[in-house]
Amino acid sequence: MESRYNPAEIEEKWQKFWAEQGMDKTPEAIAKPKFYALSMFPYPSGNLHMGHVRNYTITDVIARTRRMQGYRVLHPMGWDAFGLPAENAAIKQNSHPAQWTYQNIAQMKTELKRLGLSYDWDREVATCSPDYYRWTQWIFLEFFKSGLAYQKEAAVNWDPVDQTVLANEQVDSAGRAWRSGALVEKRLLRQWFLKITDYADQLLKDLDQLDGWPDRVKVMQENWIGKSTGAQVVFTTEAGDDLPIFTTRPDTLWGATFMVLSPEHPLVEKLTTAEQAAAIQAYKTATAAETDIERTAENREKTGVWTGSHAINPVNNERIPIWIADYVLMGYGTGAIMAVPAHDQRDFEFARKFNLPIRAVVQPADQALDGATMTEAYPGDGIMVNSAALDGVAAGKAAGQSVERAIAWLESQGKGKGTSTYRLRDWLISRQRYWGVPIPVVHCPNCGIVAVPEAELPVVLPEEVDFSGKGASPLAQLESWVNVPCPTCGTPAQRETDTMDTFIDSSWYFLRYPDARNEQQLGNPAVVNDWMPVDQYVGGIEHAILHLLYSRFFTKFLRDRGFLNFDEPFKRLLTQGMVQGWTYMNPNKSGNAQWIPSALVDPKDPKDPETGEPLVGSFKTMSKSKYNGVSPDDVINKYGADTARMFILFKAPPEKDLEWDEADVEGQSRFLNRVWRLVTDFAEQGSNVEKGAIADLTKPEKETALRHPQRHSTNHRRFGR
Amino acid sequence: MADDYQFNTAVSELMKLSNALTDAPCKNSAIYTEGIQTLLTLLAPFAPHMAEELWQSLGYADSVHHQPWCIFDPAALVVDEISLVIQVMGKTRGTIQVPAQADKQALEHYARNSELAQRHIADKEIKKVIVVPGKLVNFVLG
Repeated sequence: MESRYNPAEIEEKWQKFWAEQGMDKTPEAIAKPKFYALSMFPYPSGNLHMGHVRNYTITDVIARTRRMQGYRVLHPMGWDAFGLPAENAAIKQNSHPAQWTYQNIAQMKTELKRLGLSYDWDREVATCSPDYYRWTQWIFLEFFKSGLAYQKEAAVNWDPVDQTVLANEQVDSAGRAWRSGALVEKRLLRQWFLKITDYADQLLKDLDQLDGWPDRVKVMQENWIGKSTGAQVVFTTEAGDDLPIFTTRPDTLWGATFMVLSPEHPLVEKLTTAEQAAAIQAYKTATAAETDIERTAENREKTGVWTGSHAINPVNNERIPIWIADYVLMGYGTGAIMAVPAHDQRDFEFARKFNLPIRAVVQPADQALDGATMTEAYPGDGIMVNSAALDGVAAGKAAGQSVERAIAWLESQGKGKGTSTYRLRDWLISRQRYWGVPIPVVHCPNCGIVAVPEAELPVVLPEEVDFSGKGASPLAQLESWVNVPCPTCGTPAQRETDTMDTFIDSSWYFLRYPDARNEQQLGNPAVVNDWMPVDQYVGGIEHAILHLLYSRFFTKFLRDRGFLNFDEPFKRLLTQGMVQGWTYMNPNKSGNAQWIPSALVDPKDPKDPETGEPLVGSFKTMSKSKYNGVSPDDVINKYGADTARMFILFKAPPEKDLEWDEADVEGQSRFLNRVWRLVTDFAEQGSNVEKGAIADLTKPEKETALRHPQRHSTNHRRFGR
Repeated sequence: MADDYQFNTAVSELMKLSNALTDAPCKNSAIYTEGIQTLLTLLAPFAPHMAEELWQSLGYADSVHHQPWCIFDPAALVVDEISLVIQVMGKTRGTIQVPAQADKQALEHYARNSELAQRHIADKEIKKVIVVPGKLVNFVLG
């Protein structure tokens, strides 16, 4: 062996040797306890970045340690390979998304192998491969058969840049598309949904089982599910139509002085009188151009239009006007609210602006509220007044207080019932895009929507497709693929041309690894149930809601279909911090121009190479646009994978952000060199070990020495020769 | 690292172990051999290539990654004996080795019968015995 530490030589040698020996293959021996270590699989974007390296190194150390601790370990890797970037790259480069994707997979796999990650590559999956998406389609059909996959016309988030619809989860808090960054518009389209709302309560309750998850992630999911309790109450229009509303404060029903509908509410047209028609139409058009975020922003000037009609308040038979206003969203609750201006600030502002009556039904102890003179809504505690049966009751949500009493009264009178609503919406899963899993149904003029029979799966994504990149799915333009006989009656019918949201692909991939090559089933249930749940899942906090919530949903659904025998897919979750690089910024510039590549800057005197202006340096999350990334390949070439791994693990606790610091990388390199010298020195004088006279040892030293007598022989055959 | 992954602490502990081995005077002993083996075993999940290369250089037949993970042995950290300070009239006269688990009564017994105490007390009268468990026994004479 060499006397000098030469990582390049030994790393490649051992990687090759371990692969030949099959050291990282998953043991089948059932006698050992199992341990399933999983990193969130990457999107094959082209090159590995330091964020990947950190994620996978953390999981690898856990997997390796568990093996040494006597567990049989499953530690697989795969590719979240469908999605828009491949399609966009294909349009730009006039190639095929599959070609772009598989090239990237090959490239990234080579890079992963250089890191010494102990993956069982025999179980590799790629979600764009037919032998994988066959089972994605199978799961979709399970949802379809259960009535949990359905089509409906919906006001959907439309991304005008990518020309596709987006799920709510893919629109950020500023109303922009998660990928293109475009301001999202609302459009009415017929779309496929998964009924995740049927599982809202379980998804919320079972968060309590997740002791090994960061509280932060659980709180985010809880807020996203957004349970609120209250009552459903049915108002009626004067024409006799039901107008159900949900309220968390049914005790204030007697203070309702008008109703507000979302402009998209289906009854608006019927309610609009001839005199109001023009104003209502103009308002509806204006609202359609606004985002939900804009519509519901606080401190926004209230706008609205009276429909010309009235509703009857079921608790006191009062006749109250029905308005439309943009701050009521069709997607939440019933798309209609009762307005109680005395006790709700938004309703108060609306009432003042349009001169609508205000009636206080909660009187505080320290002041007398008068609707005519109030300057703001009173949301606090007090005593119920003007509320018939509730008069004199303490206002509030506690046991025995007004809310509970109001629900009991409504139920006894048959005028409403206690219920919960959730912020969580059904999951919109159809995409008008090519590079995704075809939704395996056929539209038949006689039979309606017909599932493609299981034996005919997968519905393979055709390769000969024209990429315009715009409008309807390219699949819709491929007549030879679209036109098929109905599987049930044989009538000429059409395939569904929408593909699935790629988040579906990643909602079950962890179930495939335990039996990844099974061609008869998604996996043998006994094998899947043996390995699952994942004992340690490692990935980014950016998946706190989307991926992690969907995966929990799929797991519960497949359990209810009798396929799985557990409730939660991920026992423990570690969300690793970001990797940050030293970043130069020119404070006088804006947008992406403000970031100056470090290679062009003298660290001792940081100046903008174009303008000479002084630059500000700080640590920022590594990204292409900030020119602050460090290439994993460069680091491995210079220091070796072991040093890169040691640095990443040493520099910061796994959950915290990590500042990439070359001096500290060198520090780890020096440490490994010291270990090298220490052990090689020892090996050279190894023949003297046995001379280390046992008689000279102290009592505990002797005990230790005697416990491992076999370890002192130097005559073993050399491993690996 | 059963539940909480403090890898940064783990790496710094590896550095301490490496330093302790570098400074160890007993490089020809069995205990030193065990120290080197332990270092490589613990290093294996972190720097798998180097750990394997060095393990092999020691002549072992099997991979370092097939070695059992070190099991924490609390008994190894239990101290069997302690040094008990013997004082006469507040003046330290020396120390004796006594069992670590000895209670107050036993400590006084060991102290009284020690050669040290008998030499310095001789036939003087013992008025009072102060025992500080784990530390010292002080004889107050008349």
